[in-house]
Amino acid sequence: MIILGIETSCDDTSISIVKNGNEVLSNVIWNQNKTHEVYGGIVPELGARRHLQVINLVIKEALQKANLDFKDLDAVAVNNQKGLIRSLLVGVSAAKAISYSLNIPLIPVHHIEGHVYSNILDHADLSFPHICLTVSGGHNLLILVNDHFKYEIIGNTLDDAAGEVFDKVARFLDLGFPGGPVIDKLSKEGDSKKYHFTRPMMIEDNFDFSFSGIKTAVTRKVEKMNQEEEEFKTEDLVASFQEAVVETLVEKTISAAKKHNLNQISVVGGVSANSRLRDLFRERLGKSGIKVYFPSLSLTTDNAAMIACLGFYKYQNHELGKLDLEVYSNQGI
Amino acid sequence: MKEKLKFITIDTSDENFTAVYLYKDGEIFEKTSHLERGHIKNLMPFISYTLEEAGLKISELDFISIVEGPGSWTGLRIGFSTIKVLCMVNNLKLILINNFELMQKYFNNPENFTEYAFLIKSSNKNYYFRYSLKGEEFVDGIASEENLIQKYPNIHCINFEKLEREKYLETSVEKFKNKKFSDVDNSEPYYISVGDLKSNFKQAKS
Repeated sequence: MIILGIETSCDDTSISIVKNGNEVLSNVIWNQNKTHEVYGGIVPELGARRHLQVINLVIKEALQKANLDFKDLDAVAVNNQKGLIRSLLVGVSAAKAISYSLNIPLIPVHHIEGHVYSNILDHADLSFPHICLTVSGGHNLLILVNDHFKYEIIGNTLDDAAGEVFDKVARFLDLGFPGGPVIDKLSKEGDSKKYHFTRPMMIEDNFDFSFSGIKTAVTRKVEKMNQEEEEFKTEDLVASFQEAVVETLVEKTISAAKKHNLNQISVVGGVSANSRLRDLFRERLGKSGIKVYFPSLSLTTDNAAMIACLGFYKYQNHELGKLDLEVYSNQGI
Repeated sequence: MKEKLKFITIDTSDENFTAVYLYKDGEIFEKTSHLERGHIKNLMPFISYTLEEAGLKISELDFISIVEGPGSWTGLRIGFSTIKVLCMVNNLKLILINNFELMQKYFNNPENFTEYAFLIKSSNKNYYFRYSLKGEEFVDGIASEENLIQKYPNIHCINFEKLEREKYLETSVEKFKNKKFSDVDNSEPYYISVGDLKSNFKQAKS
């Protein structure tokens, strides 16, 4: 079964073609970073305009890379349940037009559920139940994944998502947008023990997160050092900041796995591309018997392959949409 | 008008009014709705409905035409993303119709004003306008009525009213005969906004 996936929730226009839920034939991602860079964040109206400008071209490129034609498609899956409304509308309209023209099923899916499936797509040995940390610029969740479509959210962020804090700190330090990759890169040259930022809510007996405090601590520290004319290396500062965020994510996730007696951890979403996060998970898990899974880098940020993969399972479960399908900015999973 | 042509015309430029008109060799089928922000819910079902009523397959159409604006950005985008993909998959030609072009054609300048502007309501007290001096020198932009009068003190404003479906169909046929087709993959709405989206007064093109 060949499914075309569409993902336009935020600032990436992505179209992917996946066979039988596990073989990625193409996964094209048109990134809009240049459009939004000058604003230091996503401008929803500009994002939606960009999606519409490129949508046909991205669809064509995905088909071409998969060496397929429209007539080869068996279904179309689209994220209609989480993201910027104006952006989602473009992808959903396109999905309906394809579904109608080819008379093939339309499968609505949830963006965050898509991220959960990015690791299921990538790792055949990842089984149920497992614990999933899904963390990006828009969300920060700890989910017990008991079976297909059987989720229990056990932790959420009380304020900013980790990816959002990376962006905000990067913007404050004038490092560019998006913040995650640049902070990851600079941190490699810095001393992460140079400054200490409190790991938030680490002692609390729950799995919720709170990251806005770290952001404030970083800005205060910089302001103080500037005031006192104390010289500092940006590399040390961002490495120390990154360490605080990453350690919080890692420790909370591992203790959740232990509490629920699970020996598989799946880490997904844009922040799962962070190299320090990957290293620290492996370091802390050591010989604990708990295995950690990360998706390949092209499946960490928003992508349509995970949407098409999830669509495959939803189709098996007969969860189909109609031509009057609507969009939701923040549906629960 | 009786032409041997089959096409669909859609209008999503008003945030709260979805219109699909289907023309089949002189016969007209239509489906419209005044549902608030109803485009995403209604547009594709309306296209499907009118085609079924007319007993046509989408691939049998000669072309699709769409109102390109100015109007609701989101409404236009839902229209365009649907139509661009329909045209691409079914290999159909695309024709764009501009609301100002329709006003010029069908309202023109009834009282012979020297300096006038066609207005279409935008958001927050703003209007999309097409300004004209002596029926020449056209300028399109977006501004509040206050700002517009400040800039052009002798202006007469003519408000847009929705036209009957025949006007949209007639204009589509004309453009089809004159081969005024748009590039499907690169087409986008006539937004009227340039540079900083937040600035109050702007001129898109003259």
